[in-house]
Amino acid sequence: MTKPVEGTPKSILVVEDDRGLRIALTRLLSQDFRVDDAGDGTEALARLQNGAYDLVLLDLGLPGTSGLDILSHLRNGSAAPKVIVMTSDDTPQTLLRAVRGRAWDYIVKPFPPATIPDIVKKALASDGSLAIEVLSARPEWVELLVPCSLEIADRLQGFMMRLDADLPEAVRESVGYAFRELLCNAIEWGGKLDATRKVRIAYLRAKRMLVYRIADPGQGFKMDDLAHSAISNAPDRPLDHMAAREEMGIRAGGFGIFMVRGMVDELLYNEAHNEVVFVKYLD
Amino acid sequence: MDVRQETRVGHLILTPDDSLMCGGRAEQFERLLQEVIAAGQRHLIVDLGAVAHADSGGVRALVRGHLTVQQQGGRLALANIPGNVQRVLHLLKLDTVFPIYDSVDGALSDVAGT
Repeated sequence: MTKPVEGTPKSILVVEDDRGLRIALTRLLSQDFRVDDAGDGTEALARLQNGAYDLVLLDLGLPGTSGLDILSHLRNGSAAPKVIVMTSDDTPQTLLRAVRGRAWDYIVKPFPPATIPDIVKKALASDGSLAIEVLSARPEWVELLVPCSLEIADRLQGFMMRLDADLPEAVRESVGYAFRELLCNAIEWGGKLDATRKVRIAYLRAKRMLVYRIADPGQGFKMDDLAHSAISNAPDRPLDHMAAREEMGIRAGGFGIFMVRGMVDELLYNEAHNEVVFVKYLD
Repeated sequence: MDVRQETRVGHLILTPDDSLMCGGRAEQFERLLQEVIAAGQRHLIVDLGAVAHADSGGVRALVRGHLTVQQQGGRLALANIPGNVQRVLHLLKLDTVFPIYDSVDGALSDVAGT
């Protein structure tokens, strides 16, 4: 594989065996990008061998060489493009294989083709060096190492919420919010937004509960020092902590932990408070 | 994220077209609110109709806007709030802090005393 040339329009390869969808995506993306297409895995590999692409839209259920094999092939190349996976297979196993293959996003079919250009633009504008490292990819035990960048929070929340696709929407929503809040806290306060530092995330799915553990690389904090957080307020005085924040010279805010506490069943910190576990019971 | 701005009956109505989440969109909206207040706007209505979700970053943008404009003798009202965002505001007891209306027209009628 060669590297795309700087300064030229971004190049996209659409790999999709559904002719109608392939044509629709190619037409839509051609308005802003240089686009090639491939209708099966063999053609896709030939295109990738001969051309340089910034991004690949990759169907997983291809005849011949599968999309996951292509993903794995791309990861072994020297100039790997970003990959957005498109599939009707939304099982956790497939999702986790895509994450392990460093897919940038994972789109479940059917989807309106018109939504794709925005997703592609977002992917192309993102920092390609921010990789999610998969330490364990069992559907009931997922463990990841992620760089301390807020840009990754959106993507990761999307991936993690798809693991819980079978749960009622209200539960998925609470868990997704709680996970995102604690992840952002870990990235911003524990990791100081330094993308060379990592947050370790574990997700455990048992029959009757979900458990998330988030460990950040920081020194932790003391609950007694949280006068600037909404958790310190009297129940009927939701903005009292603002005075402490003003005194400390920090902007308004401090709602994250209070929000999480209202959305999950248990919230537990380790002694240093640089690792947190939350539990959501499912019955 | 785009934020439509429209002035009606002496109020600046801000309509963000996406969720307000930390990591970009919430911070962008927070900056915009502070800018319009610094430019002299004192009567603001935020139409949250297209804001499907708001995390603590989105809440911070609204609270900071509320506090800043209040210090200037102004007011920030919220209108057209989707269920998810209502639940977050209620959880944080912030539905007792902001003036909240079902619609922008409702907010403007209230101000006009009709």
